[in-house]
Amino acid sequence: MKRESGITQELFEALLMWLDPDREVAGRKYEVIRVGLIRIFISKGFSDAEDLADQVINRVASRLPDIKSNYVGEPVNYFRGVARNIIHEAQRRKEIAMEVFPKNLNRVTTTTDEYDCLLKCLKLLPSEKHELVLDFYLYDKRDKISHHKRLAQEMGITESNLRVRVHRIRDSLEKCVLRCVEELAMKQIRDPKALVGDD
Amino acid sequence: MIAIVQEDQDKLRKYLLGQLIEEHEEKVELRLLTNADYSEEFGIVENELIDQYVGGTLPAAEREQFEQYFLKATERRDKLAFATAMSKATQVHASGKRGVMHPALIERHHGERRFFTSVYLKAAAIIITALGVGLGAWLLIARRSGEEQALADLRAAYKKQRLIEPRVTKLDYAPLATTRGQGESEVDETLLRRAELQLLKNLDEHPGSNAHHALGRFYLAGRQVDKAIKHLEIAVKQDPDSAQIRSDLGAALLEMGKAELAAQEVGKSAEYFAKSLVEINKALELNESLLEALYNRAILRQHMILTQQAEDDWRKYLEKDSSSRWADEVRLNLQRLEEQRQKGSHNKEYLNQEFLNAYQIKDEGRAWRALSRSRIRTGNFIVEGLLDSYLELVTHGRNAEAEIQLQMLLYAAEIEKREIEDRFTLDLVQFYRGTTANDWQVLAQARSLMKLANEHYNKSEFEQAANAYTQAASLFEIKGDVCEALFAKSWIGYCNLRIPNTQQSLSIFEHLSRVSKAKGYKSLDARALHALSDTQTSLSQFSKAVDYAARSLKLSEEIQDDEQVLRCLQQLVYTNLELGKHQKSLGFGFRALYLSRDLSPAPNLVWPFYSDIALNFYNLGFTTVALDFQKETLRLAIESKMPLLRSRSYARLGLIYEKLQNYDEAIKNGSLALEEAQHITGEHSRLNSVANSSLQLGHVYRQTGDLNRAIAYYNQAIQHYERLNFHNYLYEAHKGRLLAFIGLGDDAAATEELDVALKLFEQYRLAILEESNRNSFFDAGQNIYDIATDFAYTRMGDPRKAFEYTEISRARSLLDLIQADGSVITEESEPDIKHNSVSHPLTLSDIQQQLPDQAQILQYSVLDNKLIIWVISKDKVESKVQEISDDELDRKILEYLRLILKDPGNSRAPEKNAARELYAILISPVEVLLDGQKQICIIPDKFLNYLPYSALISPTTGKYFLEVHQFILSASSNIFLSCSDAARRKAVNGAETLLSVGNPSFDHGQFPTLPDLPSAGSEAVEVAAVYNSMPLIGSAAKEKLIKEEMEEANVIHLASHYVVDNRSPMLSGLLLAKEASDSGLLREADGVLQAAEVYKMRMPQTRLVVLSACQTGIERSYRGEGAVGIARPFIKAGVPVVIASLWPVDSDATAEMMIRFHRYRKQEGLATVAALRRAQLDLLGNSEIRHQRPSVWASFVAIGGLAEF
Repeated sequence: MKRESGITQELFEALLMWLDPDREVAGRKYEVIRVGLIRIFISKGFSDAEDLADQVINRVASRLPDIKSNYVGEPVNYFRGVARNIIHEAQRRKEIAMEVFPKNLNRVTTTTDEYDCLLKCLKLLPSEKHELVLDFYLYDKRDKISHHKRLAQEMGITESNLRVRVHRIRDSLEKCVLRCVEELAMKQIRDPKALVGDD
Repeated sequence: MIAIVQEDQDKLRKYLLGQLIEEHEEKVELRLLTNADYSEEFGIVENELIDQYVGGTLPAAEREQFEQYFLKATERRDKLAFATAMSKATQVHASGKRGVMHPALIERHHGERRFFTSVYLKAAAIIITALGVGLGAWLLIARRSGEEQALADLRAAYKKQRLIEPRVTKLDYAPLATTRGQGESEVDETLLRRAELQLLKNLDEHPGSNAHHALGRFYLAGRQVDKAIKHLEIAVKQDPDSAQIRSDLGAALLEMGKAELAAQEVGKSAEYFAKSLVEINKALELNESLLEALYNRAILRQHMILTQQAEDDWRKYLEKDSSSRWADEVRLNLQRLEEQRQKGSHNKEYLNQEFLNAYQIKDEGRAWRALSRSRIRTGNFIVEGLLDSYLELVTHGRNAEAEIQLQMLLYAAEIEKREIEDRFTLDLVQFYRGTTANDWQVLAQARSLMKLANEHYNKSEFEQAANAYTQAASLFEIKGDVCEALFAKSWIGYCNLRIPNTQQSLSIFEHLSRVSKAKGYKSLDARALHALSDTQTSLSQFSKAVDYAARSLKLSEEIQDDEQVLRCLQQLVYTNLELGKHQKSLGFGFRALYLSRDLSPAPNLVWPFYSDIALNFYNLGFTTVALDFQKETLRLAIESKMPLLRSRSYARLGLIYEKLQNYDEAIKNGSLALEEAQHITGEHSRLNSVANSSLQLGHVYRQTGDLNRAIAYYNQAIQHYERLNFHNYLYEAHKGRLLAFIGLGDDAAATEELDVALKLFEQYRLAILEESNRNSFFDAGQNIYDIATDFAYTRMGDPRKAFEYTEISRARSLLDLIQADGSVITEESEPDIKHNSVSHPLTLSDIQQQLPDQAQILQYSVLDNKLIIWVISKDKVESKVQEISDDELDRKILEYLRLILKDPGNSRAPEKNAARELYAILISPVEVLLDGQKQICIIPDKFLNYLPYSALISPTTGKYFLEVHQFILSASSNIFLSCSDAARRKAVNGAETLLSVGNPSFDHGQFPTLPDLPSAGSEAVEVAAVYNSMPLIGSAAKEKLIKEEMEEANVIHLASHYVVDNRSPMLSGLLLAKEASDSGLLREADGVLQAAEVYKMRMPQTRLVVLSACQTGIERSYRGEGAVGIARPFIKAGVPVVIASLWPVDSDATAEMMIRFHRYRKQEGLATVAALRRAQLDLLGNSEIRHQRPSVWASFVAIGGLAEF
C-alpha cells in the first residue's frame, strides 16, 4: 500500500481506521480510493494526477481530527469533495507551449521507442500470455467479436473474464513499456546526439 | 464482485469523453472510489476507446472529443503511444503466422475447426481459390522474399485501378480512378491488408531504407500521403542516392500539394509542389532514364502551370517509352495541352462570333459571357471592333449597315449596365449616336492614334506612347467624347508610371478614380485603383499599394473582369514579395496562374507572375524551382517580343544561376540582360533595365570575388537609379557596393557607403506603416544593421559606432508608438497598428547622459559569427566579444529551455549544466564590469529574448544570477530610458490606488478546456488587502469596468488566463468576465481583453502592471523589433514597469509569489524590481522542492525602466 509521504504514520493509521475498523478491508479501500482519484484527475486532464491524488489524501488525513466526530456519510464522499476542490483550484499551467518553441521542445521519445520497448517487454511475459495478448487484438469490428468468443470458448472461460484477463496482461505490459521508455529518454539526454530523432 | 452491465460501460465511455452531466459524473466518480471492479472496468473501457482511435474506428463525433478532451493528460498520450505500438506488434504478430500457413491449408482439407486463425491465412486462401492456383504455386510464391511478395500483392491489388495521378516505382499501369469516395472500388483490399502486414514485418525485422521505401510506396499507392512522406523521408535520409526513393517522395509531395490546393491553401500547396520538384529533379539527376520520375515531373509541371516544360517532359518520356499504356496517357495529356493552347489561340475570334450569335437570337446570358471575357487592357475588343466597323461604314456612307453596328453596341452596353451596373459603354454609345459627319474623321484619327500609342507602349517606348495618347485624348475631348478621353488619360497615366514620372501618374489616376466613381464607370475605376496601387509600389509605399490593390481586386471581381483580377493579383504578389511574405505572395501568384489557365491571356500579362513566383521560390531557398519558373518567364518574354521583359528575365535568370554557383551562366545571362536593355527604345525604360542588369552583374561578380568589376557595375546601377529616382533598387545597389568595399578592405569607402545604405533602408520605415508588415520586412532586412555593427566593431575598432548601429535596429516600432502613438486598424481580417510617424533614437552619448545613476545597461548583439556584449554606464562604454555563431547560441538556449520546462522528477543536473554554460557565454565575460549596487537593464537580441536570465548559474560561485543582481528587461536602450523617464514622472508620493482582478468568470463556452482559477481569485484578494483595496473577482471582473478602472489605477494586478491567438498577437488576450454580447473584430466587452484593445488605451496614472498569467511576456520574437506579447501594449500605453511571464506558470506558486511580491513592495517599501527579486528568492529557498525549480520562479520578469517605486 503506497502511503502519501506528507502525512505521519499516526494520521495515516487514523485515516485507515476511518475507512474501516478492519485494517485489511481499510487497506483495500484505501487502494481503491487512491487509484480512483488518479483516474479522476487524469480524466480531468491533469498530468500530475498521482501528486494530486496524494494531495487529496493528505488534506483528508490532516483534517480528519476535526471532522471525524461530526462527519456523516461515506468517507468517499469527503474524498471526492476534496478532489473537486483541488480540481477547481486548477493550475494555470498549460501544456508546454509548443506554439512558442515549436520544433525544439518536442518530446524526447519517439513511437519507435515505444515499439522497441514493447518488443522487449513482450519477451518478458510467459509465452501463453504473450500469445494471448497479441491474439486478442487481432481483429477489428465484427470479426473481433466472433474472434473473442472463439478464444474464450477455447480457454473455457467467459468472454467477460477473457476481457479482464487480457486487460491485466496489457496493464502490466504498459507499465513495463513506460519504464523502458523513460530509461531510453534518460539515455538520450545523456547522449545529446540521440536527440536527433525522426519527429 | 458487482456485475458491470452495458449501461455502465456506456456511462464510463461518456465520462471518459467528458460527455456526462455533473450529476452522472458524480455517480461515476463515487463508484470509482468505492468499487475495484468498476475501477478496473474503467481501465478496460479507456483502453478500448484508445484502440478504436488507433484503429480508425472511432466515430467522427467521438474522435474530436477524444482528441480535445480525452488526450489532455500526459498519461493518456502515453497510453495512446503504447496502443499504437501494440497495434503494430499485433499486425506483425498476425503476419508472423505466415509460417503456419501450410499446415493450416492442410487442416482445411481435414475440415479442422481452427481454420482461419489470421487475416493473412484468410486472404491467402481467398486468393488461391479465386485464382484457381494450386498449392504448388502458392509455395512458389511463399519462397519469395517478403518484400517481393508484398510488392506482388500491391501490384495485384491495384491491377484494375490506381488511386493517385503520379507513377509509383515498381507498380504497373492501371487507369486512374475517376470517382472518389463513391462508386465501386476496384482495389483489392484483402491483398492490401496482407501486403501491409508483410511490409510492417519487414520493417520490424530489417529496418532500413528498403523497408521504409517499400512501406512508403505502399502508403503512397493508397493515397495515405502523410504516412508515405514519413517513411519515404526516412528512406531518403538513409539512402540519399536512390533515384527511385526520391521519385516516390516527389510523387507523395505532389499529392500533398494537390490536397492543400483542394483545401484552398494555395500558398502551402505551392511549397509542397516546390519540394516535390526538388526531389524529382534529384531523382532524374541520379537516373535520367527513370520513367516514373520523368512522368511525375511532367504531371507536376502541369499542376504548376509550367506548361511548356511539362510538354517537353512528356515528349522526352515518349522517346523512352512509346508503347506502354502509360505512353497512351502521356499522349492524352499532350493532346489536352494542345487543345488548351488551341482554345487560347482562337479565343478572340471565337468570342466575337459568340457575341454575334447571341445578339442574333437575343441570348443575353451568352452575350454577356462573350462580352465579359473580351475585356483586355486596351479595352473591350468586341466593343472596339464594333466601333471601328461603325466608323468605317458611316464614313463610307453605308448608313444602314452602320446602324446595325450601333444597335449591336447598344445591346452590349445595356447588357453591361444591367449585369454590372457599369455605364461606360452606354455613355460611349450614346455619344456616338449623337455624332455627325464632322466628328467621324476626327474620332477615327483619335482612335488610330490610340492604336499607334499602344504599339509604342508594347515596345516600352513610353515617351512616344505618351505623346500619341495625349494627342488622342485632346481629339476626343474636342469632340466631347468623355469616355474615350478618360480612357486615353488612363494610358497617359501608365506611361508616366513607366517613364517614370510617378507624381504625375499619381495625380492622373486619383482624378480618374474620382471621375469614374462619379460617373458610374466601374471598370475604369477598377483600372485606376489598380494603377494607383502600382504607383504607390513605385514610391515604396507598400501599405497604400496593398490597400489600392485590394480595393481594385474587390471591384474587379464584382464586375467579373478576370483580366483586371489578374492585374490586381499581380500587385498583391509583388507587394507581399517585397514585404517578405513569401507564402502569401505565392498564394496570390498561383491563384493568378490558375485563373490565367482558363483565360489564355497575353504573355506580357502572365509574365510578372512567373517572374515573381520565381523570386519567391528563390527567397524560400527553392533555387532549382525558381530556375524552372524563370525559364518560363524568359520564354514568355521572348514570346511577348518586348525587350524590356527579355532584359528583366535574363537578369533574374543570372541572379538564380549565381545562387546555384553557376557563375558562367550567371555572367552570361547578366550580359544578355544588359545587351537586351540597350535595345529598348524608350529612354527611361532603357536606363531602368541597364541599371537592373548592372545590379545583377554586380552581385554575380561580387560572388565570384571579382570585387572591382562588381563595384564598376554597382556604380553604373547607382548612377542610373539615382537619375531615375528608384529608391528600392538604389538601396540594393548600395548594399551590394558596401559588401564589395568591405571585401576589398576599403574601409573608408565602406564607411561612406554604409551611411548611404542605412539612410535608404531607414526610409522604408516611413513607407511601411502597418505593424505586421514592418515586423516581417525589418525582420528580413535586419542583416544590414548586423553588417554595420560587425563592420564598425571589427574593422573600424569603433565599439561606440557599432553600438549605435545595433541600437537603431531595436524595437523601433515600439519607440514610434511610445513617442508618436499610432492607430489600431480593423479593416483587414486581423487588427493591425498603423504608425503615424517615425521617431529618432538617441545617440550613445545621449543615452549615457540620460542614463540614471543607479542603472547600468547590459546589451547584446547576436551576429552571424559572434556575440557582442556591451556594458553601458553613465561614464563608460565597455564591450566584450564571444566567438559563437548565432545558430550555436540558439541551439544552446533551446536546449536549456527544454530542460527547464521538463516535467519535475528528472535529474536537474543537465539543466544546471546548461545554465552554467550559458552564464559563461553571456555573463562571465562582463561579470567584473557589472556593478552589484546598480540595477541592470538587460537588452536581449534575437533568441535571447526567450531566456530567463535570473536562472543562469555562475560556474565559479554556483549562484543564480538573481541571487547576485537585480535586473529588468527592455527592448532597447531607448525604450529603457523612455520607461525610466515615465517612471520618474509617475514617482509621486502618497497612497497608490490598486486595481486587483482575479479569477474572472470567463466564458466557459468559448474556452471549454480552461479551468476556473480559484487561487488566482485568492491571490487578487490578498493583493488587494495589501493596498487596502477591493478586488474584482468572478463575475464582478467585467471587461468594460476593468478597462475604465485601468485608466485610473496606479497599480494594476491581473490574475487570469492569457490566451494566445496564433493568427496575430493583436488578437491574444486576458480572459475577463463577459459583459454583453458584442460584435466586430475588436469586441469591446466580450470578456477578452485583447492586445489590440490595450494598444488603444492610455494609462496616465499607471506605474505598474502585473500580468499574473501564462506567457504574457513574449509570444513571438522578431529580429529587430524583439519580443512581442501582451506586455508590449502596456509599455506603449506609458506604463513604466510591467511584470510578465516567459512561459506557462503554476497557479499556486504564482499566487504565493505574487502576494509576497506586493507585500515586499508595499509593506517593506522595496522598489518593484527588488520586491520581485525577493519574492523569487523566497520561492527558491522554499522547502517544497517543486517551488525551487526555475520553471516555477524564473518565468516572471520585470520589463521596462528604472523605477523608484
